[in-house]
Amino acid sequence: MNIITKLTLRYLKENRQRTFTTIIGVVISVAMIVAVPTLLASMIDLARRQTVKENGDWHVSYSLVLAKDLELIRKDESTSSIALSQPIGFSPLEESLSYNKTMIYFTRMDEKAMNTYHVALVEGRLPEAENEIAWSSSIASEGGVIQKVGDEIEVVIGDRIVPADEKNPERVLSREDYTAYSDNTGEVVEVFRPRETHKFLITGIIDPGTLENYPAIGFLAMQYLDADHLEPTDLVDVAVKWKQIDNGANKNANRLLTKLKINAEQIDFNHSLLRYYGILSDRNMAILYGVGTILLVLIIVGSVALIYNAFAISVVERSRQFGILSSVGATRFQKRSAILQEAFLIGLIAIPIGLAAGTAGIGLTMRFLEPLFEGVVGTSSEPLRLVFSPGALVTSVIIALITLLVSAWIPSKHAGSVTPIESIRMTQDLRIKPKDVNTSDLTRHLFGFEAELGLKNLKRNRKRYSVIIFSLVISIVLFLAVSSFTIYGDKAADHYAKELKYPVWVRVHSDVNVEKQVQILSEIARLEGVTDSMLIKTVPLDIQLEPEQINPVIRNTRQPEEYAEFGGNTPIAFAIQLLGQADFDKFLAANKISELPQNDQEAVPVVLINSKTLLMSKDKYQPIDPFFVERGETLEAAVHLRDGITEDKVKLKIAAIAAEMPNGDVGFDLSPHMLLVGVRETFDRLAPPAADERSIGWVYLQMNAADTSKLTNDILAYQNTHPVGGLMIQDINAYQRAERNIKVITKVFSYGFVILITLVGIANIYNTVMTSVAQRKQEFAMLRAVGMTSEGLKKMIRYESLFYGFRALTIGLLVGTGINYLLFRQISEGFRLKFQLPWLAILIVIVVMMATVGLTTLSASNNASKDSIVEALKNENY
Amino acid sequence: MEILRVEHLTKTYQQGETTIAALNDVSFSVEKGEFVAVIGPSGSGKSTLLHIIGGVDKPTSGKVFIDDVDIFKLKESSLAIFRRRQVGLIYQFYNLIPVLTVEENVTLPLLLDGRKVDEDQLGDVLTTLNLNDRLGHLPNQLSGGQQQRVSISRALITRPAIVLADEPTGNLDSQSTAEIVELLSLSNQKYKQTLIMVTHNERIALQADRIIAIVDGKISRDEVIRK
Repeated sequence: MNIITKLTLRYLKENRQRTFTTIIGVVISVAMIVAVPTLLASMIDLARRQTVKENGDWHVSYSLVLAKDLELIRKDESTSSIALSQPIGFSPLEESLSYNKTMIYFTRMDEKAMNTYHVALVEGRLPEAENEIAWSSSIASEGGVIQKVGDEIEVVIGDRIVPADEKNPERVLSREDYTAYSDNTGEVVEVFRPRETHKFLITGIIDPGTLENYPAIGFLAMQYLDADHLEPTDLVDVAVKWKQIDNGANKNANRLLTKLKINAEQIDFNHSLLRYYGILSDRNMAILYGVGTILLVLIIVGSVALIYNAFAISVVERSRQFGILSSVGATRFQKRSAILQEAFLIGLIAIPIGLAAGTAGIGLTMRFLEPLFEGVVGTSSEPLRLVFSPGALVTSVIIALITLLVSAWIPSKHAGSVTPIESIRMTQDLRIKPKDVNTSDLTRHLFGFEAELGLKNLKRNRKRYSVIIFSLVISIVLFLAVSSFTIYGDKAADHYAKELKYPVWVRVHSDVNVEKQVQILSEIARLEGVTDSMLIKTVPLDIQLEPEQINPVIRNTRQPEEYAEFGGNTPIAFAIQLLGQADFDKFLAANKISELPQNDQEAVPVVLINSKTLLMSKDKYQPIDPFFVERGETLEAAVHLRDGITEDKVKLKIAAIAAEMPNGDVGFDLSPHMLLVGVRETFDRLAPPAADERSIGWVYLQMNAADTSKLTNDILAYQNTHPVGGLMIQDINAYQRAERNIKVITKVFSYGFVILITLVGIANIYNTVMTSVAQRKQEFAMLRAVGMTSEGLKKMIRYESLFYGFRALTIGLLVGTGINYLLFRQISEGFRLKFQLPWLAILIVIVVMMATVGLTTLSASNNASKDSIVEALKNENY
Repeated sequence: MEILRVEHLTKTYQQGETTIAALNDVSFSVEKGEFVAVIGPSGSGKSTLLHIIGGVDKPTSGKVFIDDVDIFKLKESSLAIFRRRQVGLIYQFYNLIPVLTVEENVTLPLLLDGRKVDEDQLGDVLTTLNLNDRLGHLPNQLSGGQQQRVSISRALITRPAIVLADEPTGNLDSQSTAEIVELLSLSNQKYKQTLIMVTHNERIALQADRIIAIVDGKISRDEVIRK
């Protein structure tokens, strides 16, 4: 073994305690470093699995391939497996209640394809014969068309056609054309061209998996595809799963395209999945990697600042050794390599432990946080799993080594320049000038001579002093920054997190008329567990206001274009919420308004919600009153029909002004808005509903229940057993739960990060104080020899540490508060926040800092005062 | 044969307003195999002279030739390697590395050079300095005299052109002092080792072949007492 290595190894063994604390510091840093890419890899893995779940387990698909060419794909080097399906055609489903799903899409699929697209049998059996089909469960739940297993149906199968016009030839639409084909004006132009009439026996009900994406026009009906009975000229769709997902496979897929003699439109990549493999560039991935990099840089900066100190101390401690080495002819490089080897040896022990600890730590964290991820990624999300990525491990090792190297670099340069004469003469102390160690008389008066000596000791070695202060300040600043961030994050989020009177909203999302909608929703309102509910019909209106009734701030705001229309004489679009008489009375009571008689034959008595508009001014949102409408005023409104056509006018009399909306919310809106509330029966009496009712307004039910998740499930169950068409259900509690979970997750990670950084800092403080005491044994012995008592010595050391802690706290708290203010400026935009000091965090910082410094010093000073004076004085070699 | 030549060495320190000359135009030369004692009172500049000759301190002006090499023309790393091979240093406080054994401390210059240790030569030096039964000990397990013997062995192991000893007995009792001076004298005779020893003790100086006395940074006396 090289003598320098041997020397370094022995030195590390000799100073076990210091080596141990340094290793702990490095272990924590490495653990943090490895946690970042591991977490990243795990999240990407989650995203991949989630995408597979939502979009199917395939990488590339070829449509309309000749069955005789299937071998080409199957035998291709990139192909792992293939799934076959065969489009048959569409059939209109006249009875469908769904807005968008108005057809049935018939297809054949082999078992592999069912797996690939997560199609699963719910009831009955899979079709086997030519005239058998399995039928999507959503045809009942969304379409409201209920057929049972064993039913026979007759359907007309055909194609969706876009007829030829002057410019384009006729086009046949495929399953990929999700929505009804419309032209530039929004008019649906596709037509159905029947091909054949079929009789089918329904053998089973299937869960359509990913094949019936929400906006798709067709419900799924499936026949069984037997790959062995395909004719060579049959056309099939092939979904391919690759063996290895990389650019090679990507290129290969395009090569295969030419071999199959099909054109580019017939190949489709699973973009949403492949972007998570880095094959396709993706903004989300770039953001993810960006955040990861920023975090890593933060960790590295924090770690370097803290680990650097360990090596800086080592150089000071070993400088006599380097002097001796130098005097017997060690070169600069050899002295330097001693410190670099120290870093390397420490890395050798600390990096593997750090990797293991970091992976285990993030694994445990993920396991504990797992339940919180529910509802964050999606309603039925995949579990978050720990992923061991060799790439992440290698990256971490390299980053850890670089961190160590960077930390040791400057100290090693200092080690290289230690001259023998310095160590022989101990000239470092000779170089100081009296003014370097000047202390004010006040210190002596206030704290005594020992304190003054302590302060002088600090000043004697300015470089080390500033290194330690820097390390401590970094810990403090990071802690405060994260705390402030969390505090403001909480505050900002609180604006949304208000307890709602009606957290569950339901709307009928299908083609049934208002009367039917009201009936369905009333039934839902009677479901078990509902504690309170309110049925609201919203009708859009046009109201002509006088220019002076519009706040000049809005009238004059020409810049945001949406305000421009408020300057002229065009009518303004408003909405009126119509409640049942009972709900309306409840609403009046909540707003402390006395009953309003509903017998006016001229005008509908309405309540105006006094909602404010948030207007951007001077980089901040200011709430202003958008319109000046007084109580007692009567407004003339035109009832909205589709496409700007308005119905007969109706008179609305502002009978009262309320602060809260019927759902208990206080209105804030970014665009000027006026909300009116009235009684449904009165409105309908004075403004008879139009014939085509669904075009004027929509009905929704707001509910509350003790257990809103259960209520949501009950509503879904109701939907499956009653032909209501689609229901849109929104559980704001679940949404808020997800929000809260995100906050908890963020807090765990940010505080975890800070606590670890602080631990590195504590290890560092411990090292520094212990070393500085150990190094000055002789000096202490001398002080005791000239009559300083043990108590006095302890006092001196304690004051020394106290001054360290005090100085670090002063700087750290100042810088930390500065950063806190910057964060406040950043986040306060748009939210009305008050600047706030993170008092609790500041208190924690002070306590932890003082406790660490205090406890360390206590043990160090006990050690120092126990040493024998004679031994310590004699000990010349250190 | 001339092994060391010192030409017009001057070393000044700036202390506040005043300039202090530790060495003031010192010139002399030493023949191969000579045992030279440099004496003088505290602060006379004798240690500074030794450090400059050893290449661990730099002169303000003047030159030092060892074996006809102008050592201050060497680059820093070359000077370190030159020192490793051609100069042996012995200090008052031994300057041993506490975590290395006696054997490792002795062979340190060779180990730094990456050279293989010549076992015969090592055995010879250790026998001469009577350290054979202390090879595995650490410095703090040895007495002062023993530690200084380790330090002398370390200086001799490379067979340097010149061995420089700075108050080698300054920290020792009288019995150890006699022993160390005798060993230095023995190595001078046995290995024809050129030796320059700084001391403030006239009685020890008398063991040398030649005495150079320094007062206030100048050579005040240079006499050969034994040929």
